[in-house]
Amino acid sequence: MNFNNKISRLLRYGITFFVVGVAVFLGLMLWQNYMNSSWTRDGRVRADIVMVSPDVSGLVNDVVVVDNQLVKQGDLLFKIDVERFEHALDEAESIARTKKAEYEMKKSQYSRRAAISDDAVSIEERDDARLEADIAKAKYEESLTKVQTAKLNLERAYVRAPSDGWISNLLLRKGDYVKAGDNSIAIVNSDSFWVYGYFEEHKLSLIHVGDVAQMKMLGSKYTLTGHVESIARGISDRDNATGERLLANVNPTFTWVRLAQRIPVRIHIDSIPEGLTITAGMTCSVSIKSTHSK
Amino acid sequence: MPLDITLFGIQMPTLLPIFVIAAVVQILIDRIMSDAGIYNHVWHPGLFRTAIFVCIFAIPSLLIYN
Repeated sequence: MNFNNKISRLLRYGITFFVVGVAVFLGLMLWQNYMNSSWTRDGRVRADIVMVSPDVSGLVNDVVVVDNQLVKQGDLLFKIDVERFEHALDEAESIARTKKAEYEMKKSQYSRRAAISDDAVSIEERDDARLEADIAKAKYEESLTKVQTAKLNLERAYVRAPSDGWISNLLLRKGDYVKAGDNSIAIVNSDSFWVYGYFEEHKLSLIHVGDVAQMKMLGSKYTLTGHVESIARGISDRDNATGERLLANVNPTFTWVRLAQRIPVRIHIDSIPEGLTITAGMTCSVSIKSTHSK
Repeated sequence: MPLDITLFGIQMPTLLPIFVIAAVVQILIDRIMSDAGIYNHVWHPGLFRTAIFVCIFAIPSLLIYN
């Protein structure tokens, strides 16, 4: 009886501690997998944004594109009032004609003086005539360049798309005055989409260039596939803002629990599933299958 | 298994629904085991129950992160 009792008690302890042991093991494994595998819920779709600015200033005469329109490289975006540039071109052409006439006058003066004998014209006068012809020629060439510039300005009054892409957040309206160099239209380059995955710094050692990545778009059934293109080699130090007179302004940190910083990992998108409209700024969860052994 | 799951338009980590399902499964198993009298052969039923729940929760969760 006593012996049986002992066995039964041992069995009770055995079963309990066995199950508790398994639970502790599984719990630790889950913790390890959760903390130390290369995934993040903090991924963003990015794209190259071209900020189109006119090369000349003027009144916007006509905006020929609409918001979110797909444009091809070289497509007309908007027109700046050309009247001023047409006048400038006329002026430059008139000046060029004047300079041309002056040049021809000086040229014929010089050729006449070169032909007359040395008795009738001094060497100095002849040299002056030659140099004056040279000056007139150079001035004529200068005026021709000004004609070219006036033509270029006229051409640049028609602002064209620098690359294929979508017009985004079009705010430019007919009648606006744009200055040369002012950003007027944003174009989202259509073949430049990539994903930035922000990974905690302790996970970076698990990620290598070329690893396969899967991106699940927030709230959708679509999954993109890609591969790691590169890893950012610098983020700013949040605890060391430059202070007054360029001195370091180091934040005193004495926290026990420290949060890992996020490092951007650039992921090249290899395939986009049919039916998914991809937009720069979308959120996705990124998980990376490490092809290297630990 | 996916990292995130979308329920009623809200995206949440898959761990969360797994936790709820594990709790329901745990209640069922608990009832079966108490009917079968297994708790009579266990030293500390509270600890035993907690350990069973951890197992039920951890096994499907391990499939998510790998």
